[in-house]
Amino acid sequence: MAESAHCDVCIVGTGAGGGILAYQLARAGLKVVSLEQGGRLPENYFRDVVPPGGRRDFGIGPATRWPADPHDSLFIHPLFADGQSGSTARPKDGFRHFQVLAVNGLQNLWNGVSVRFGPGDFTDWPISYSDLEASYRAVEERIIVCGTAENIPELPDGVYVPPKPLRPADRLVVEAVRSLREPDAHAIPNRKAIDTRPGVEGACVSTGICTSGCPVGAVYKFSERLLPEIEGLPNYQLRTDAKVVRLIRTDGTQRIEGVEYIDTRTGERHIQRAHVVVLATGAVETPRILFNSADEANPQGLSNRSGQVGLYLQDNPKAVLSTSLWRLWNTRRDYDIGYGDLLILMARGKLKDGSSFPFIGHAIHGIPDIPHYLAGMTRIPAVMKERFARMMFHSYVTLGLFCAGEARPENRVRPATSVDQHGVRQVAVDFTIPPAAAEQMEAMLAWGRKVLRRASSTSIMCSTDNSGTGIHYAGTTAMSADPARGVVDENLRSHEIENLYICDGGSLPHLPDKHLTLTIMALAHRLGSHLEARARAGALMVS
Amino acid sequence: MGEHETEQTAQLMAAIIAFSPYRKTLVQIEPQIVRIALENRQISEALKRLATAREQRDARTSPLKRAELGSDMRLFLEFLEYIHFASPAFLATVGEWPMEGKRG
Repeated sequence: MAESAHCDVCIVGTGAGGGILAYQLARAGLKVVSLEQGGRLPENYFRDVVPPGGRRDFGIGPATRWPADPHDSLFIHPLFADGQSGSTARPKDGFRHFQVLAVNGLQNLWNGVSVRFGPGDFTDWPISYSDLEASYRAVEERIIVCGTAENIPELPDGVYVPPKPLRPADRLVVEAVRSLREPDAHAIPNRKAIDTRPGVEGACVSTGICTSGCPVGAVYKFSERLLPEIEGLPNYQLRTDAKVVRLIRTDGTQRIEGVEYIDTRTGERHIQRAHVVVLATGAVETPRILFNSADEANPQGLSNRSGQVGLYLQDNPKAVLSTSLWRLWNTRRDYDIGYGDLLILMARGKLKDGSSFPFIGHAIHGIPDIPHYLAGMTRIPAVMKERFARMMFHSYVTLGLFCAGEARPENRVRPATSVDQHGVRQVAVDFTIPPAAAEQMEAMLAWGRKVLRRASSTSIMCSTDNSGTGIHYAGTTAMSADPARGVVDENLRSHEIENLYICDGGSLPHLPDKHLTLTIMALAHRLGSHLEARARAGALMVS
Repeated sequence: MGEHETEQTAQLMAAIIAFSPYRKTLVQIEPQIVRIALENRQISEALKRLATAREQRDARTSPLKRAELGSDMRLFLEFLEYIHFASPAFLATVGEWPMEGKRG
């Protein structure tokens, strides 16, 4: 087995957490190696190979199916790993795990929503909002977030460049939310990691959609913004096509001495030795690595003597509503379409027992060059359809609403019997939609219908889901001050393995309603500061 | 799929376009439609089913009849309708073609 030279920090994964951390530590002068199991996408991938929308082949790919479900259209993107290459075998039923095996990971298809968690979202965490506030600010400045300050206590303001202007559809939704006169309901400009500054190279070119990759790199991605600044440094190395098999523990200690990985191009196995290892591979892949690192002293997997690894998997329950607003019929577009979802919506849903819960989401309006609207026109005869399609073309709005996940031990990632194409054992997911989530999703639908009706909706297409399609996976290697109740401490350091850290969605003990990505990045920044301080104190290499 | 088989399914797809109410715009982009159809798993499987059925009836060279599409008729028509409403010809009528440089 080939061995690489020792590094200070080996970071596994180049997504939200891994990218921010690699940048910070490499810039601080530490010897850093990033291992990424996928390759680097060609520079023109989202411009020419698989551009967003209908620009290439009318948006039809090998996996497109008819009749098409508009709310499922994102999930057939060719970048998503299949059951041969991913962490799970992707069984047809049950929880659907989405993973992108490439530099940037899921952030290749990230729509950029970058909201801070509120102080109340840190209940039961070993850290508070104030512990993360400086890191939120540092990350926002680093990745550039557009948005506006709104002074809403539950959604703290950050550092923003101006957003794109609201469009007629957004204004109808804003007015509809305002007309509800609910004190907790807000419709505000979205906060997205998109560079909107005019004249800046790589700024937003208004594709109207961000969930299928940005052709100009206006949405933050490690490879576009931070990697170019560090990849020439002598103390940084990005190793792609490096699938981590397991972590290797030094006999007689609770320390890791290296990371074993497969070069997926050659099939050769390698070991990367490191003083510190950080797993930043996501709430499903990270447990996979820990389980596969089991040894005689740790038969349930590394950092898993408490049996906590893999438990409490969460994803945001979601409700999606699409309609055509008749007040926008027969209009032509004379406005900037922007980045699709220009609005954040916030409110509280009401449950039958009289209680309420918070939820957040976005209002999406784009150019339907991929005609998902046909799913709502099946009863219109062909001879009339073209006229209707023209009349309604610029009138479509979709609301995507998300509420908090629920940490339940039975919803978990566990070792599977299946193996991937490299012979590496996969994980399986046990997940049952919590009863509360089902009721919350219905309550979000009821609120969404109310808003859309006031905004002049026609028929509304609705769907709900909490089986993986939120793609906000959390909770499986939870942060806790108590080693019996979590996997990592308040500094994201394993309770059991002294030089192992975990920095991805799995570290979040509770997934609030708000999108988790900015918080993962802020945690990465905070971890970077912690490791920098330890390195300065000479403590990084000390057992 | 062999070269002969590919050619056969391609010819079938071209013939199916004639059954679409949007054939007038679709025939202008026929080669593109055929290529996309063959690359799409669901459509190419349906074309293969159709080709096999015609071969079994020894009807390979006879003109394709609408009734031969059977239960896949709806699938083919939805596929073609989708392309029509995503086509430059249609998008131009709503002011959204060409795409480049017109969205900001």
